[in-house]
Amino acid sequence: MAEKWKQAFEIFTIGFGMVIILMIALSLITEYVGKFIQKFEAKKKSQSGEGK
Amino acid sequence: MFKFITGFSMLDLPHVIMILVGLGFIFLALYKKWEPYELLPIGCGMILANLPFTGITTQPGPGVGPAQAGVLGILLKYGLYQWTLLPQFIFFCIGAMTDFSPLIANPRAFILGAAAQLGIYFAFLGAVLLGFSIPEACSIGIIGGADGPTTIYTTGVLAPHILGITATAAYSYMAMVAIIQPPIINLLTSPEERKIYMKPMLRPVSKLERVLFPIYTMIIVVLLIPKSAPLVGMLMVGNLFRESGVVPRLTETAQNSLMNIITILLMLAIGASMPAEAVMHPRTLLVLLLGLLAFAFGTVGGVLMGKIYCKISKEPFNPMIGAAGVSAVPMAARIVQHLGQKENKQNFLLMHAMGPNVAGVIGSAIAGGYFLSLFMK
Repeated sequence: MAEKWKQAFEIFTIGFGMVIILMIALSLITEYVGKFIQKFEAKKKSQSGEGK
Repeated sequence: MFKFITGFSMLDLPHVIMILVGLGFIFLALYKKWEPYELLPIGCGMILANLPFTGITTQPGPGVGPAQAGVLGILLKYGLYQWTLLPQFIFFCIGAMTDFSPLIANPRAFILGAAAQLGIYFAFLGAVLLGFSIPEACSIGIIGGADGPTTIYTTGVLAPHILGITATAAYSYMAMVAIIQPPIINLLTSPEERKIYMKPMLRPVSKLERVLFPIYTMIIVVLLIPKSAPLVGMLMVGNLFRESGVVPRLTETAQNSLMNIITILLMLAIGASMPAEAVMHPRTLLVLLLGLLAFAFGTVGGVLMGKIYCKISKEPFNPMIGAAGVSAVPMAARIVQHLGQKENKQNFLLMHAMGPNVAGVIGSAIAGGYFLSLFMK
């Protein structure tokens, strides 16, 4: 029984921790990719505006 | 003679009860409009599985030739238990139907979606405490993800003998989100917090962002948790089809025809997985109770994280939005919108709530993938 509880507690902490960490990582990546693309598209827009 | 050639001789009380439960599901679908696309075929499958002498749920196998296997038995074996094809394809279709723009526009919503997975792990511990095995506890906990296909796939692999109950609990509680969530949200938030006004519009999201999102999400999540590929991988492939814009016919098929076909097959099979012998057991009530607790604790986790955001955010932040992190797309987001409007007529929280709502789908798929990675070789 003690062994089962040890395993369950491990699954709880590692599993929930993994969900939190992975989602924080995805949040940061999405934020930075978004900022990069917005900058890139603004630059592209201004360059095409200059061309005209 | 009549008695022996008809099914009446084998019709015992447990089967009659299950037939009545099936009729109850059909009633809820028809007259209450509770998840009719799911509960109607589940109810029909349940009735067919409990009518005696039909052989309709007989699975093919050694000694059971093609002529002896029943149509629902074939669906059960190849769709759910052995190849688990159906829930994986549902994930592909959901990906083709989901717009992740509210999440891309507000990536903080990922963390709300993560916090709302608390229910999964609390119910998991509760199930272990009540004497369920670890794979069974994982399957019960995942009900808290409020995501039918994740529940079906995880239980189909880890504990197929309780599949019918966990799947039905997931879909039933999703239909009851409007009953389960508001009291918890009201209990955890003050009227002042519920009144907090947020600007209704999120920033526009470019096509390039929407195309890149499923690609990097799939690669990162599947690299870290390879067993989540049938869930997160298929979800993101479906979403890439949608956002690419270059395969409109395939996307349209996935969103409509394929989704409808798989829904019919999957829900009939789930109903068929509930013969009286598998369900009429005291442990069934415990599974239903734990599933309800999982939903409730998921809401608690999301709202508490919303309250933390409310305290630390520079912009006004309504903590109710966290409750949408339990997925149950889009019902949980609609509940938040409804409660927000009730407190403050100026408030339109729907788009803000859709972010954690779709993040919850990814979160529960990650949680399911983690459970699978513990037991799948």
